[in-house]
Amino acid sequence: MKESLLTIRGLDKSFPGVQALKDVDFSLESGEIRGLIGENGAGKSTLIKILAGIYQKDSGKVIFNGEEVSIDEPAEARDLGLAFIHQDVNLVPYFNAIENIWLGFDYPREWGKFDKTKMEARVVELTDQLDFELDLHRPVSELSTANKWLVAILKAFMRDAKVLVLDEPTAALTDEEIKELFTNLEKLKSKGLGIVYVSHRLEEVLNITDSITVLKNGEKVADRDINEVDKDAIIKLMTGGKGINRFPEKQSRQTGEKTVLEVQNFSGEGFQNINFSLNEREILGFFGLVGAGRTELMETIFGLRNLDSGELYLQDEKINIDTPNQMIEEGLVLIPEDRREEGLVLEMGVDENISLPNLDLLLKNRFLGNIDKTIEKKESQNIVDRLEVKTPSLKQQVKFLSGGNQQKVVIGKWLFRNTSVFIFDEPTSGIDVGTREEIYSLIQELAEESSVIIVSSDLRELTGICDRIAVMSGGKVTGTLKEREFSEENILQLAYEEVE
Amino acid sequence: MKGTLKKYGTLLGLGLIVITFAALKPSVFPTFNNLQNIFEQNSLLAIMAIGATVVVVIGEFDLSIGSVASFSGILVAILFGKNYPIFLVVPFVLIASLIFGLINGFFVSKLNIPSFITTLASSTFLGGITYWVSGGTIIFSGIPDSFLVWGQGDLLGIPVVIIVAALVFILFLYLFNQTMFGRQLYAIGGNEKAARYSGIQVERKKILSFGLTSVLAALAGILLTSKLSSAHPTAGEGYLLQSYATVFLGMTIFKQGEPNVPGTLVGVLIMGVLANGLTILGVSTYFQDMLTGSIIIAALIFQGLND
Repeated sequence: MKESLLTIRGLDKSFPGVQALKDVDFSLESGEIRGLIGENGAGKSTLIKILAGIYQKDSGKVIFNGEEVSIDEPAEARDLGLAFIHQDVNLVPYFNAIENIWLGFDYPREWGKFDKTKMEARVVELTDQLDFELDLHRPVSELSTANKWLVAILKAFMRDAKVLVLDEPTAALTDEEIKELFTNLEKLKSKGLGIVYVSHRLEEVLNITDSITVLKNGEKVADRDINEVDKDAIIKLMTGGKGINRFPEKQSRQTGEKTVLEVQNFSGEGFQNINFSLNEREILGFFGLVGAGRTELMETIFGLRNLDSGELYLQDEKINIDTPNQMIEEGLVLIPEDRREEGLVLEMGVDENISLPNLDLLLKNRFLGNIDKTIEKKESQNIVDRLEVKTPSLKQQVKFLSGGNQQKVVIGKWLFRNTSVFIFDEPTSGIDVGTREEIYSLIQELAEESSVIIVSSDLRELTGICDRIAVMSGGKVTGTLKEREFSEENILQLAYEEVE
Repeated sequence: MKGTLKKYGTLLGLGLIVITFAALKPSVFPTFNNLQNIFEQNSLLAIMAIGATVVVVIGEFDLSIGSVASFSGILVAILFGKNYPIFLVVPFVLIASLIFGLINGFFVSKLNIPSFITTLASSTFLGGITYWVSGGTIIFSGIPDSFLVWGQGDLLGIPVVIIVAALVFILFLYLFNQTMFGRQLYAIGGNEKAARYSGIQVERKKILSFGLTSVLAALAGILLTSKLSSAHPTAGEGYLLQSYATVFLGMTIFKQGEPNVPGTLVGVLIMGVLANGLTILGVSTYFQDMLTGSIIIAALIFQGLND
C-alpha cells in the first residue's frame, strides 16, 4: 500500500443535539483526486471544516505526511499545506492576479516600495510550475470564473499547498470552463498534489475523480474506486438502500380535490419551465440540492423576483404577480429561509415584528393611517400565546430571543390574516428538536384550512409531513412523487438528475 | 441604572449645560426672553433637522437639504418680485421642492444609486440653478410685508416660527409613533430586506421619505427669507451639517441608536443653548464651533462606550 498523504481515523464530532460525524475514516494519496459525496447534512462540510481548523474534532486522528497533527485554527491548516477553495472565491475584483495572489503575504520590497518585478517573477514561476495559462495583468473581475479559481489555487500554492480541497468548484462554471478547470486539475494531480473534490454533480465526479468516499448521516458508508461505480451505484450508496427515518411520523390526512394554486410554464432567473399545482388542504414539499432553484422559484411566486414568463392562478383566477404586498393581499405568503436577514427587524419588538405585514388590518382610521395599538397588542399577544413564544415581554427586541423563538415570531407574522397558501422556505433550519415538532404540528394545523408548500433539504421532515414531494434539479422539476412513492432512492434519483 | 443613564445621558447633558449657563449668567441666561430667543433662533434648524430625521430613519442621507432651503428662499423672493400672490407662491415652491425630493428618492430606490452620491450631485445641480436664477446676489425687493409675518411676527405673543416648528414637531412625532407609514419607515431602516419580505413597498416609501425631507427643507428656506426680509443664494447651506449633527445627537436618546423626532429636538436645543450661552459669555465663534464639535463627538463616544 502506498504511503497516504492525508489519513483520518475514527473522527467524531457532535454539536448540541446532533452527531455530525461518527467514527469517520478518510484517506487521500498524493496524485489522487478523491470525491467526497453525500446528501445535504451527511457531514461533508463538517469534515472539511475540521480539516480547515474551523471546527475542533471531539476525537480521532488526523495524520498528514506520516505524522499526527492537530489543527486548532485555520492558520495551522494553511501552514501544513492544506488549501481550501470555496464556492465564492474571495478575490479583490479590481486587483490583477499578481496583486491578488500576493495579498496577505509580505511583499518583496526595494527602497520601501514593493518590487513588482519580483512579485511577478514569483507568480510566473508558479504558473510555469503548475502549467497554468492565465492573464496575470488584467483585473480579476474581467477573468472567467474558471480563471478566478486558478488565481485562488495559485494563491494557495504561495504557501506550498500539498492538499487542495475544492468545494463545489463547478457550480458557477459553463461547460467550456469546467473542461478547462478539469484539465488544470489533471496537471495538479500529475504534480503529486492530493485533491479532495466535493460536489453534488455526480457526472462530473465520475469524470474527474479517481475514487470516492461516501458519507451518510455522519458515517462513512463506502470507499470506492471510481471504476467500480456508476451513478446509480453512488446514489444507492448514499441512500444506504434503507427506508427513511421519517420525522415527524406521517399521519394520514385528507386533502381536498379543488386546485388552489396553479403554476404554468414558469421561467425566471434560476429556474425554467416549472409546472405544478397545489390542492386544497395539501402539503406539497419541494426537495432539491443547493442551487436547484427552489428558493428562486418561491420568491418569484411571492413577487420578490422578476418572472420572465409563465402564468399563475390562485383559486382559478389569473394573477399578474407584481409585489409581495399584492400577493399577501391575494392570500399567498412566504415565510423566508433566513430569519435574521429576511424575516425579522432585529431591533424591533416581538409585537412590532408580528404586526409588520398586517398594519393595514390594524388601522384606526384609514385616512390618518394611525395604528390601533390596543388591538395590535391584543392580536400579537394572541399569536405569542398560540405559538408559545418564550419572551419576557411583547416589547422585547427579537434579537434577544433564541433561534427557535425567533422562528416562531417569523411564522407568527403570517397568522394574522386569511391566507390560502403558505410557502415555508426551510422552516426548521438551525432549530432544536422540540421547536421543530411544534412547527410541524402548526404546519399540519394550518393545512386543515389552507394549503402549504414546504421547501426543505431535510428528507426526513419532507417525507414525514408532505402529501406529495416535487423534486427540483438544475432549475427544473424533475419529478413529483406521491406519498406511496416516497423513498430516499426515488427522491435522490430525481434530485441528481442532470438537466440540460 | 446604567440603561437609564444611557437612554437619557444626552438629555442630562442638556440639563447640565443649561444649569452651567444659568449659574454663570443668572441675570441674562435663564430669563423668559432669552429662552424664547433660543427657541425662535432654532426653529428653522428644528424644521430642517426633523426633515433630515426622516431619511436617516430609512438608513439614507439627503445632502441636498441646504441647497433646497436656499433655492426655496430665492424662488419665493423672485416670484414675489414678479407680483405673484403669497397663496400661490408658497404652495408652488413647496410642491417644486417636493418633486425635487421625490426625484432624489427615485434615483436612490429605483436606480440604486447611493443616496450620499445622488443627493450630493442633485444638491450641486440645484445650487447651480439657484445661482443662475438669482444672479448670485441677495434679493431684497418685492417681498411683501404680509409675508414677513411668518418669519418675524407673533401670534398670541408667540413667534410664528416657533408655532410652525411646534406643529411640524407634533405632526412628525405622530407620524413616527402612531402611523403605519412611520412604522414601515423604521422597518425599512432596521432591515430593508425583511421589510420587503413583509410586503412593504420599500421603493415607494423611500421616495416619499425623500419628498418629505425636501419639503421641510423648503419650508425652512421660505421662513428664512421671511425672517431676513431677503433671500441669499447660499442662505441654507449652514443648516446642512447642523441638521445632521442634531439627528446624530438625537440618536443617543430615547430610542437607542435610532433616529427619533424628540431626540432630534433635544439635539437642536443642545446646539441652540450652546450657541446662545457661549455668545452671552462672550466666547468667540471659533471656539464655539470647536466646543460644539467636541460635544457631538463626546455624546457619540458615550453612546458607543455603553454598547
